[in-house]
Amino acid sequence: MSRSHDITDDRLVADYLNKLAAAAAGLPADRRAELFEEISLHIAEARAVQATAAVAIRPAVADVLERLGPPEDIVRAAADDTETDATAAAPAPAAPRRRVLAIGTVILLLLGGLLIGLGWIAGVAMLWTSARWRTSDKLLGTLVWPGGFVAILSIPRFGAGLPPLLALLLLLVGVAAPIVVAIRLLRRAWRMPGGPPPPHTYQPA
Amino acid sequence: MRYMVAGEAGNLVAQMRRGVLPYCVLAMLRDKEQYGFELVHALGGIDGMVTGEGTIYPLLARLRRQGLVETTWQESTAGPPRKYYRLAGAGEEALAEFTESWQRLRESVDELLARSGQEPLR
Repeated sequence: MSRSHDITDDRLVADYLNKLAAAAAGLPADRRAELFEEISLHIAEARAVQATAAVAIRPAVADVLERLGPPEDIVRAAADDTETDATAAAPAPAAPRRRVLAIGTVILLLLGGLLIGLGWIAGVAMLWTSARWRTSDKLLGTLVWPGGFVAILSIPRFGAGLPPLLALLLLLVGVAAPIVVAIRLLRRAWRMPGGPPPPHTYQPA
Repeated sequence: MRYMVAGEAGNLVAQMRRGVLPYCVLAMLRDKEQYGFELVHALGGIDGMVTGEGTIYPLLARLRRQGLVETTWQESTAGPPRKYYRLAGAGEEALAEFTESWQRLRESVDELLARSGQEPLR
């Protein structure tokens, strides 16, 4: 490739990246830096391929940039994603049924023990067959406590011989732990496949 | 189909494509990790999948923030260092869930479309 070609290509790339930087000015700084790095690397990689490829299949820099698309479109996609993240808690089209299922599972885990234990077993089955929880969540949901709140009902009987303070503490832990686990399960169900909200949201300039 | 606005189907397809694209990316990473350029270039080569290859990078960044993919840097002999993307555990789960939903939806729609040949849907 001739030197004049290189210079023209360099200018094309610089123009493209300048446009990208200008368009991305409204993005949060970390998103902007990440996007710029990825796109720069993409172009550098394409040019490295270009340098080693046979002339006949050598992709022109202009083609590489055209395939990348207008910088404004890339930034719009990044801005959309920023908004998507921020509203991850808003229901997605398929979310309501999943959430009802998640809530049902958690209620069965907490209170299903009251239905001769069968409700709790159903809750555990729902917990383990769902893809929305990780194994660690499933273990927690199953082990804290088997039978849910029903397990706590046995504390007064157990605790008869214990000092009152210890019995009270046991009772508090017994009640609080399943609630904490339930909240964790629900939070996880709410987030999948959305992520936690980002610290910033995109403000159009 | 008098009730549908002309051009709406095209718009719908664009929306559907946008909705399934994250899972297509996860699917491409299922068997092996790939670096950004490789992944993006391959996706760009699939007919009708993306309009601009550059728009896949924000998507990859989001998948990483969501913990669905993981990244590692590796040196390259021919060019700049490469950022490799790999499916994370949560990504595998999300992909499995999507695969199931997608198959169910596709079968239902196929069945409806075949049936609606006789009796037009409103």
